Amino acid sequence: MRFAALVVAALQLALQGCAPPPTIPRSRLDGWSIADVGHVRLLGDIPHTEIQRLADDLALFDATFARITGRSHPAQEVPVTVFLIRDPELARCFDLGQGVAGWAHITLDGAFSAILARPDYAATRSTLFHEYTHVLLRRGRRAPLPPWYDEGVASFFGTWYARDSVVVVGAPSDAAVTRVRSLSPLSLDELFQGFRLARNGQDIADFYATSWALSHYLLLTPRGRSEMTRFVDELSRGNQPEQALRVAFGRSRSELESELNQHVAHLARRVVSEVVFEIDALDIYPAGRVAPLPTVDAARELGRMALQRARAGGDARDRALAKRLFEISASQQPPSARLEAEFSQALALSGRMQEAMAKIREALARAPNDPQVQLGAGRVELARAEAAESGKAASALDAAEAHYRKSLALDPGSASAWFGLGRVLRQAARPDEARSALQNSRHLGWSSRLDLAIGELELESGRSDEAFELLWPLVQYPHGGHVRDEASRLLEEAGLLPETPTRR
Amino acid sequence: MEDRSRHRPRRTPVARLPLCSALLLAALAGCIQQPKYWVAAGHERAPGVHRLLLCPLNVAVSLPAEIASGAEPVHSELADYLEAQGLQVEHLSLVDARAQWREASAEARGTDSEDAAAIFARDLGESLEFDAMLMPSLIYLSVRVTDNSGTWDGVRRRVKMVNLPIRDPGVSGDTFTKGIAAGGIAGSVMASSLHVAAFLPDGQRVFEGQGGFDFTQVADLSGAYGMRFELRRRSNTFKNPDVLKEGVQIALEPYLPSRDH
Repeated sequence: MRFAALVVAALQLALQGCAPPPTIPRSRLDGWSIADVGHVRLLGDIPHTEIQRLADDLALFDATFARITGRSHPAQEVPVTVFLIRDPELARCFDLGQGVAGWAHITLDGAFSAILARPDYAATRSTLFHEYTHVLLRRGRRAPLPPWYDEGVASFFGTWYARDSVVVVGAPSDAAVTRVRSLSPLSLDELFQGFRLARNGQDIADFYATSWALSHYLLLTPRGRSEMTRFVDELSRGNQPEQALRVAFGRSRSELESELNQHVAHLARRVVSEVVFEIDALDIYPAGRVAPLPTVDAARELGRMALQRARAGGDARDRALAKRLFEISASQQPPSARLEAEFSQALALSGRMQEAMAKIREALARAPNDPQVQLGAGRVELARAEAAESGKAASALDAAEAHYRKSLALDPGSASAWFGLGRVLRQAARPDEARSALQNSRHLGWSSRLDLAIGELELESGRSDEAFELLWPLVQYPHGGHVRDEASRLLEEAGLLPETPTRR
Repeated sequence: MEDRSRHRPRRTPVARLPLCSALLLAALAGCIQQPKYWVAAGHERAPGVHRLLLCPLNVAVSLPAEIASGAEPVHSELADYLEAQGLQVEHLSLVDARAQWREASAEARGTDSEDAAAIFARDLGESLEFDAMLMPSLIYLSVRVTDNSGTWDGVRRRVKMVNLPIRDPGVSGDTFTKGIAAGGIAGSVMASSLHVAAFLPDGQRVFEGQGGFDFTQVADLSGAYGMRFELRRRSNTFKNPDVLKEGVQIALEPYLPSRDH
C-alpha cells in the first residue's frame, strides 16, 4: 500500500515535470533573446529570426488593433513581458503544454504572458495575439471585463495574419462556425451569464465559439465596433454588465440574438467577413532589433514571472521555481539592490524568512531610496507577518507599513504600494484606512487580486452589496484560478453566491 | 510517408454547369472526390490569352482561419506557375479586389440576372487591360479517409500520424492499437484544395477547376492505448512546394496546362 502510494506520488511528480524543488540547470536558460515592440518585450528561447518575425508581426498587430478599436497606446503604460518558451520542460514549469498554449497574467506591477512556442509559426502567433489582446483590453480598465467580451474579442484578434501587403483580421474559424451553426450554441442569456455554465469541455468550447461569433459580428462593422466601445466605456464608468448592455446596444437580447443567427448563417455560406487594411495605411511603431539575452537576465525575467504567480496564490512549485531562478541570476552577477529585493520576496514566500530578511536588509542598505526596494521590503515584512503566530505579527506589520509608506513617499503613483499598504492595514484591523488605501490603488491600476481584497474587506464590514459587485465578476472570470476560487468561496460563505444556472 | 501518387484528371470537359460556381459550392459541401473541370467550348488551353489578371486568393469566398497561413505560399506558387507558362501576369490587390467585389455583389443582388463574379470581371475589364482574369480560392474541405488515405480533387494523400504507439502490437493486446500500428485510421479529415475560375474581360466565365493540396490535420496517436486518437492542426501543409505545384497544376490543367506536359 505504501509502495503504491509512493509510485503514485512519483508518477504525479514526473507528470508535473517541474515538481518542487525544480531542477532547472543554468544551461536551460542559455540562448535566449529579446526584442522590444513599444511597451512590449518579447523574450524567448527560440531562434533570433523567429522572434524577430514575431516582433515585426506584433508591431503590425498593434497598429491594426489601434485602427479597429480606435484606441492607441496611452503614454503611461504598464510594461508587458511576453515569454515565448519552446523548451518543453521549462514550458511545463509555467503550466504550458498539455492543452494549454498560452496565458496572460495581469498584475499591478505589469502584465506577463507565457506562450508555448510551437514549430507551427502561425499557431504560435495566433496564441500570442490572443493573449496579448487580453492584455490590451485591460489597459486603463478598473473592472474585470465580461468573459464573453474578453474571450470573444481575443479570439477575433487571434486570427490576425498578413498577406499580399495587407493585414487581415477576423477570418472565421471553420470549427467555430460549425460549432455555433450546427451543434449547440449558447443563447445570449447563457453567454452573458459567463463561465459558470461551463461544466465540461463541450460547454467550454460552446462558450468560446459563441463569444467569438458575437464579437465577430459586432467588430466587423463601424456600428458594431462603436457599440462594443460604448459597452466597455459603460463598464469603465462602473455600470454593471446588464445595464452596460442595455445602454450600448439599445435593443433587446432577442433582437441581438436574431442578428447573430443571421450573421452565423452568412459565415456558414462562406460570405467574406473580415477586416482588411493595407499595411502602408497603418500607423506602425516598428519593432526593435532582436538582441541576445544573457542567461542571468533570462533567469531573472522568468523569476519575476514566477514570483508574480507565486504571489497570486501559486503553489509550492511556483515559489520554489521563483527562488531557483533568482538563485541562478544572483549567482552569476554583481549584487544589485532590486535583484536582492526580488530574491528576498521569493525566499519569504518559500518560508525561508531568515534568509529573506538578510537579503532585504542588504538591498535596503544598498539602495534605501529606491521605491522598488522599499516595496519589496514591505512585501517581505507582510509575508513575515502572515507567517507569524498570532500575537507576534504586530512588529512585522508595523515594519511593512513603514516600508510601504516610504515607497509611496518616493513614488506616490505606485498602485502596488497602495495595495500592499491596504493589505497591511486590513490585517492591522484598521478597515477604514485599509479601504482608502485599496481604493487609491484602484484609481491607479486594476488587478483581480485587488478587487478580491476590497471585496473581502467589504464583506467583513457587512457591506454585502458592495462586496457582491466586486466579487461576482471575479467568479465569472474563466481563467481566474485561485482568485476565482477565493471569490466564489467568500460569496458562498456569505450566502451571496447565486445558484448555478443550467443550460437549456 | 506521404503518398504523392495522383489520379490523372479527366481531360474531357464535364457537362456544362450552371454559371454559379457549382463546383465551388460542391467542394465546400465536401462532396468532390475527383478533379472536375468545366471549360467553355473553344477555350481549352486558353487560346489568345497572354495578359492575365490574377486576383488575390479568396476575394469572394471566406478563407477559413485554419488555412489562412496558406494564402501567401499558394498565391506565390500560382503566380510562378502562370509566369512559367509564358503569361504576363498582373496582380490585383486584396483591398481593391474586395471593394470591387462588394460593388459587383450589390449590383448582382439588384439585377437577379447575372452572377456577381461575371459582373466583377466585366467591371474590371472596363478599367484594366487583360485577356483573361483568374479568381483563385483556397478551400477547406472534409475528406473521407480509409486506411489512412483519402482521395479528392485529383490527389491521393495519406494522413500523417504522429506519436505512434511504440509498444509491439502483438503485446499491446488491444485491437485498436493493433489496427493503428497496422496503419489504418478511418474517418473524416480536413484538407485543402485550390479552386480557380477564369473569366474574359466581358464577364464571360470560361473555366472552373479544382486541384487538391494535402490534409491540414495530422492524427495524433498519443492516446492510442486509451483507445482514441486526436486530429490536430498540421503545421506544414503549405510548406511543401511539390504539393503546391501539383495542386496548382491539377486545378488549371485543361485551361492552362503545364508546358512540361
